[in-house]
Amino acid sequence: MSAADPSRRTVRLGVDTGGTFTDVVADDGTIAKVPSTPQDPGDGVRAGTAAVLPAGVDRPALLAHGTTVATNALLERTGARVALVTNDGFEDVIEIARQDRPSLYDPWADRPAPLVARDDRVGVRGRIGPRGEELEPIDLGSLSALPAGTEAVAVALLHSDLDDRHERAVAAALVAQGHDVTVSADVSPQFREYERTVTTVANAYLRPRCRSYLARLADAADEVLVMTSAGGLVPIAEGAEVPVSLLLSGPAGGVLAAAAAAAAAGFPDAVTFDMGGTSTDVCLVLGGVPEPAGERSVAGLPIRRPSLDVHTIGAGGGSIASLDAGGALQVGPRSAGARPGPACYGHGGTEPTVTDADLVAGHLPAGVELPGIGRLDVDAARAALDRVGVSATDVLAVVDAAMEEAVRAVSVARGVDPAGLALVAFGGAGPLHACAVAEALGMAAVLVPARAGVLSAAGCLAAPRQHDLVASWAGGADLTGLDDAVAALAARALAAVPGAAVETSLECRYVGQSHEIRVGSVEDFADAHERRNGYGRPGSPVEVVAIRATARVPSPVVLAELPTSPRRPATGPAVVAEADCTIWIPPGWRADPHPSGALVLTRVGR
Amino acid sequence: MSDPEAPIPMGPAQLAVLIARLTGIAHEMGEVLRRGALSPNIKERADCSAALFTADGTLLVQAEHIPVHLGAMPASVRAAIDALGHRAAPGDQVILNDPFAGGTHLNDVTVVEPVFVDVDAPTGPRLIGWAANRAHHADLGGAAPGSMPAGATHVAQEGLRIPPVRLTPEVAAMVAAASRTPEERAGDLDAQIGANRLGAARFAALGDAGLPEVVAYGERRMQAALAGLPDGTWRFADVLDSFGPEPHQQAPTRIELSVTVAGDEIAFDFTGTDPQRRGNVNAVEAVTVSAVAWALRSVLDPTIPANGGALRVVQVVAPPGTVVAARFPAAVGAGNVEVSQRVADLCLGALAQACPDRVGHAARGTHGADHVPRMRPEPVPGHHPLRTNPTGRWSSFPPMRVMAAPVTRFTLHLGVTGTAGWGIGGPGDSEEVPGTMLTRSQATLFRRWTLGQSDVAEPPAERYDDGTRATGTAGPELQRIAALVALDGSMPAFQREVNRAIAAGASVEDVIGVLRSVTTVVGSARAMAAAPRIALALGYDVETEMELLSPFDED
Repeated sequence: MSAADPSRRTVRLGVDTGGTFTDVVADDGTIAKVPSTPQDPGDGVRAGTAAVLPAGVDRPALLAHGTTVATNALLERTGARVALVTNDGFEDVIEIARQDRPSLYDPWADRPAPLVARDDRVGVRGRIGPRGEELEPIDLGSLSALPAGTEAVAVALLHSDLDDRHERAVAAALVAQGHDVTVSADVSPQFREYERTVTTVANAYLRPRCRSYLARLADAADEVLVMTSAGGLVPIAEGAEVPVSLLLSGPAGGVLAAAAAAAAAGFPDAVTFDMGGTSTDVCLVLGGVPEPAGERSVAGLPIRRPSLDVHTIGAGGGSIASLDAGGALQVGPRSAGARPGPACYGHGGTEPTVTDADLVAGHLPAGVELPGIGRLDVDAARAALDRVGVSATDVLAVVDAAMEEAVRAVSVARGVDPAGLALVAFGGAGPLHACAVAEALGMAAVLVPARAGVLSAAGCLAAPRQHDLVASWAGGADLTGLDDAVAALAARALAAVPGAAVETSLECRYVGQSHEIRVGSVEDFADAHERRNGYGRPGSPVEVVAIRATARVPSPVVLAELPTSPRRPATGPAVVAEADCTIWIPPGWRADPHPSGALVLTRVGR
Repeated sequence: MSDPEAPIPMGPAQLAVLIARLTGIAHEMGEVLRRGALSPNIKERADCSAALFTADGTLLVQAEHIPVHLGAMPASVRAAIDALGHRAAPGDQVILNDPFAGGTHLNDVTVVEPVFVDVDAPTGPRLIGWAANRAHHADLGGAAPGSMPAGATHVAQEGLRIPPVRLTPEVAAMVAAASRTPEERAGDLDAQIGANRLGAARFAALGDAGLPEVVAYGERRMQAALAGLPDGTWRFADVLDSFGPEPHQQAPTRIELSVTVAGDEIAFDFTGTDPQRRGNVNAVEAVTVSAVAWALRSVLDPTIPANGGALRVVQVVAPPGTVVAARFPAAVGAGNVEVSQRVADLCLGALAQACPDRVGHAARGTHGADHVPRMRPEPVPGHHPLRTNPTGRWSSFPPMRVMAAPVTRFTLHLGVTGTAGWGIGGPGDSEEVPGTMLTRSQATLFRRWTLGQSDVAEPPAERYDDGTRATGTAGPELQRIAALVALDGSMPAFQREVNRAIAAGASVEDVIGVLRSVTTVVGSARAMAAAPRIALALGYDVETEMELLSPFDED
């Protein structure tokens, strides 16, 4: 699509801020990669925007943004000083947690400290009971002054998911005092007070910083939207209010774009496979839609917000290979990280990594240059492997087995046969390892999407506007009034995104279980349980724990229709080195470009 | 090696890949079990295990859920093989919980499925291994809800004892019928069978090539770790505070251990340990082996695999009939939760002498809601209420929504000794709760030992031996404490009087001595109620556990 008069064009952009680069994709297919600016990531966003805007267009009509500001603030513990207001006597719920220990056998292993110091937790008298009944009225007079230096407040009271009046009363009093207050009923209206409290506190912790960051971006386009963990775009004002929903912002974009690429190439069912330097993310996609999840652990904390169900394992290109005392080859969990990085980076790394093995095995071409790293040193890689006494093929076999288990965990373990699925490879190492994983699992094809190097930005551009809501269902197996409650929630979601299509779902389980399965209706539950767990319990009562509603308006941008640089067919063994992506095609595999721009890899003779 | 049975050497990558596949299977079994189960213990805190075994019953891999099952799972599969291994057929499920035939305490029900390949071959199916899982069922009958009656003196009082038998629908019906919550039993057994079916199918698809090498690998890992220890023998002793709730059961039980390292082998010898008691604080040998395995792994190298080979070079001598290897008809309910913790502590205490830099201090007793991380001299935020030793990973407490009665407090208790414990409770709790309110805690009356801290440096057993010395100058204050015990005094009152007594020169032993001396006068119920308050007042940690219709935390 070429615009006859550039000044009349409206430009839409997807922008994703990563650790090293800020990636931009425009709706005419133009891409840009500019250095990220950690001091204020907004500078990188503006620089990237300027790089793709046609002459005469002073700012884009729309900017859809994937950001790591929230994630980094949580990982680096640079958020606000939060005071927690909770029921008197329950100030330590956040610290007692589930008494989980990070390792059953390692007494040295630490778990993350709570986000609120003990002295900053304040009790208030008043109690809602487990059926939503008021046991004791709220006593605002019992609320002592918040500690000096409080920058944000989290209010999380027991059972507020059933009756939030106490929380609202406390919040109103604190807002009147000028505090920045997050209420649990707003960010996580679900039972299980520990997880709800942590989610609420994390939101308060992140909000001052994310709010000012997003506010500074407000004039970067006529309209600025931000990507949530659930794979939908929300106005920046909404993102600024609930920054805890932005923790998977960047990865969600990549998963969305990968799902779209698979669907466009004829694979509505797929697994996305994002293998990076230190970790690998996989996500099941069914019918073109990435599987949703209701909770995700970030920096060791349970965050209960709608999210894509991305399964992460701690292995990637930087994972270090070593022989253990029993003579088995271990790959990871140690990683060379970005610095010193793999031996072949030439930055002082001496231990062999997966990337070194890729290079020695010839899956990365000798002399290849990686963006931001430079030319890889194959001699250094070989020396590192020799020093440990392992071969490149051995290292690849072990890491590929780990990847296979990860893909299995989101497919076979959920009752989905991988034979019909495509594996959508991206990330620095994904396209190098995907065929081996797909081969082992008998998957139908491997797909390398167009613009694989800027996939998260592309995903932002093509993401729907979305609003996710959840509500507790207190009735259990008594479904009286459920339809009305579902309709009410759907109406609320629709009100947030006018013109949207609304999808509702129920979190169900057999009475007595603790693990819910998300289904469209209670009638679907028995089959879903059978599929997921391998057995059903016919006749056992099913209860509803929560209701969900998602309102979506699709993006006008269809990634498969954007122009892409041409790709050529190839037969393995072959290495396809693109500007931002290297693909290894093993013997017995071939690669064919698809009209949508993706490269489709299949086994020869199938 | 000329041994014809010796495993065929595999390459380092082949070996790692095979282990990853087997581990993936065990993990997936555990997930099915947790997702499907109804018992709070299984679903909320993963008091369950899943494992794969060779055809001869050697452990290959075990999903890491709860270490107290480490040594116990192999015993279960061994019992199943002994009972009907030669008659096992494809699709069979073998159930058992008999503490004296492969089980531990009655709640832990193990279901074992033989894994066959070539099922349709003319030569008949070929057995290649076993898939097994174990889960803590909330109730299997017996004298009290939860099947761990504190007053049990005979295993028959604790509930249904199931020897290794085929899990037919009839047997499942019998198990359900014996329980106070039959629906829950049926749901848990469904989940256990579902987990085994999945594991057996994946295991059969993988085949049995290379399995001996996986076992040999475990042995090499343990040998390599043991080689880093100096040769020698180290001893340690400790006591269990009591063996039941009755006054006559308020007597310590001594456990003795000598650990001998010789090259790449190690032996744990419990000779000298007191005989099993007429109470429920008795462990069967499998529990003791589990605790030894946990301690060894956490001291030597947390990454040593749970693998039968690793335990080949570990000898455990637990004299039958002692509290660490109880025989029929001992009640064993608290063996998993109390004795296992103490045995693990003993192992740590002995191993600390061989490698002092790797051990900090003992756990608090029951379930080990620990406070100070092992290695830290000071409480660290976010670290105190950790579970430790061979118990599982998650809390005893389900979300408040699930609690049958309102909990009025749920807080950390920061004690005067600088350690932090935690507890729930509050005025009137026990009246509000439609069940029983229990405190169950060992190593509370006798202070936990802490290595390298001068105030508690003396060996615990000697402290006990010396525990009868005369009261000092704090007579009136101690009498007031005795009165509070009789009157069921409140926590603040105990705190006030204990502070006064200490200020007047009473020792910790003096205060505890009051409780002992009045128990026979005021009765065990009053004494039990007062014990945690006195302990809290002294700065010791106490876990108060609510036991409702279905107890939450029973390893």
